Amino acid sequence: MGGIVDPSSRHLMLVLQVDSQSQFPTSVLRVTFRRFPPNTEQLARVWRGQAFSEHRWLVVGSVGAGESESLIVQDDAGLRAVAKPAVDPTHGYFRGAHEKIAADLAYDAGIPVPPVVLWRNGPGTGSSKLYSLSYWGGFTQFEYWNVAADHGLLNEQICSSVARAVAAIGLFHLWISAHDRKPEHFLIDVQADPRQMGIAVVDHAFSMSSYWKRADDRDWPAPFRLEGVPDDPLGCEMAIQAINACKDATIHEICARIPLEFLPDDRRDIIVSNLAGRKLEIPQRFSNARGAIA
Amino acid sequence: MTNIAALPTPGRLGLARIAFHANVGSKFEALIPLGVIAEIHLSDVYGLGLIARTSLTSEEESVIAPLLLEKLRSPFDFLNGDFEWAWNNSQPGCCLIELANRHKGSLRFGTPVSKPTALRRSHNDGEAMEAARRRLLEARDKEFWAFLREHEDDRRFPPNRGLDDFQYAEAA
Repeated sequence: MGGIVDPSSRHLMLVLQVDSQSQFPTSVLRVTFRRFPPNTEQLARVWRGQAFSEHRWLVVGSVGAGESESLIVQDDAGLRAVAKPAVDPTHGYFRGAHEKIAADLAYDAGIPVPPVVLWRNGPGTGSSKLYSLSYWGGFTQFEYWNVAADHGLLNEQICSSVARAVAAIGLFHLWISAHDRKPEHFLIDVQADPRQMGIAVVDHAFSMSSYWKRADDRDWPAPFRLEGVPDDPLGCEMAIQAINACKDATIHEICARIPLEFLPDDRRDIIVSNLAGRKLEIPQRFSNARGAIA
Repeated sequence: MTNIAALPTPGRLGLARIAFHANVGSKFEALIPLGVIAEIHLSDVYGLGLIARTSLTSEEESVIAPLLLEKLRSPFDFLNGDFEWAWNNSQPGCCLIELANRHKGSLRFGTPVSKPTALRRSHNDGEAMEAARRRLLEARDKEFWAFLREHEDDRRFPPNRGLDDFQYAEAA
């Protein structure tokens, strides 16, 4: 097998794949930057396989007090997720579709984004009934990076242990044109061993077709650094490989199943075309901005 | 004939519960009540109040991740930092909203519940401040005890109940 292998081997995962032509699963060694607990990965596998949740979700509260109108919802089994309005027809934002596509791509590329699924029957009428559901935080106990930093929870060991994943997230954000990047979108697993700290990134509502207006758009977000986290060029190289391993057919499959009410056809075509074209250009972008991507 | 009345000065009183959520993604999580923060905002009177526990039970400590527990062992001391942050960085009337938006993880400031309140306009400045303060503290403490009572039956984590176990902060 060719490619780059993480010397620590903590970023390799054995994945069983079932080929449609074969009844026998084949094992594939895949790079991963995800350190979610097993129950999150189990849910991620299920939600990666479906566009919509058919569960009955009940609104049990709200998150914060902001303008995003995020709700806390709960299914019959007691699973809790954050529900965000998926479509803003006034401004032409298709936030839910972006969240879902980003989470599915991230799952395949091993990038730590909590699982997302679409929900058609939320509170409201018309397009306001459409939501994206994100499994809350992905970790059992977590804190936001900015809050953890302000409260003195972070140290050099933690910053070093998340460097590889943060580097990979940076490349992923280049790929999908995620401009809305800030420490408030990074979560850390406070239960983890600080030497192997889990980190996740959330909120990809403003990415992809929020910025891409044509099939070959080459809008690239400026480099972003998470304060205190060292550069990790090997992590970037590994992420490039992981992103390039996403086949065009997979990109098409992920985007094609998002229905019209969540994402119009023209937007979908633009997204598919850009994702396929841009991933080939990421190595060049990385070499141009080496060491400054996060 | 002439009728003259002193109209009340309208404003709002907001309350937010502060809790630790031991399993954010599950309905069956353990919720540990930590404190309540209150905010009153009338036209020219503004106040913020915090009441929080000063310690946790050993059962509670056992479910909090070590990284957070180190800081959260004394909830009041930990939360007092956020109280100061909010007082120094937020616009009057926006403290609870900013805290709720900032703390959405396992340590969570709940979405504030706000209701109209009013003071008699006949108060002079000092009286108005004192009346607002009394109203703020009364509402804050009432909400705090209600919060504790709601979790009294949670046998896994009986909150401390002694008056010495709570500490208060006020700013106006």
